[in-house]
Amino acid sequence: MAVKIRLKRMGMKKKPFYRVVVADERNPRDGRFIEEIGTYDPMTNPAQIKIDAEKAANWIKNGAQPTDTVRVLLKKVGAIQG
Amino acid sequence: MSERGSGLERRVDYGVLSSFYGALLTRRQQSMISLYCDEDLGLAEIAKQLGVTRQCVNDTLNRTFDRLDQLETALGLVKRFADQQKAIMACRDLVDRAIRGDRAQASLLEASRLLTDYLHEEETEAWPLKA
Repeated sequence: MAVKIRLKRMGMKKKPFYRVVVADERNPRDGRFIEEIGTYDPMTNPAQIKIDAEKAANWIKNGAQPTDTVRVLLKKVGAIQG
Repeated sequence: MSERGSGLERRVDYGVLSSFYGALLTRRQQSMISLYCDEDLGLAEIAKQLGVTRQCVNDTLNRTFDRLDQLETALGLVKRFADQQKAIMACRDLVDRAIRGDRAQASLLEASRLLTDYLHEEETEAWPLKA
């Protein structure tokens, strides 16, 4: 089973807010995910990124693939090397 | 091809645009933009989900980005919403300050001035054919 770390948009229509979730690649739309490891709020200035770096590193070590966008966030918080 | 940044920024920006103008897109455009912006899927993943080619996803998404940009250029609802939010929040802060008794008169005057400016801007911007 391929596991991905991706963003998932939550919150209100006009106020984007994202969760960083670990989810099975095959069913992105059904709303289920394995674990939430952080949040991303692009509306604050600067954008607020809260990610549990230890959990992220652990998932990646175990083969989970972050999307390009999550990779950008992980680099920003120093959870992975640039 | 869209002029907005790629990746993260693009997903956030077009996610907002589609929450304003999504109803004006075709159903196929809506589902692709949602998978792209809300679910953070890549083009190949979207193609697999919808049973179409990656090229088809790429073309449709680019057309959808252009369409959303066009709609915002013509209607400006996102910008207008942001301007409104800004004006309302500034006024609320000033009224809160007045309630706390912090330079009450001056704060209310300032709030009133902000509202007047905003109304004036709305009035003069309302008709796009002024040129």
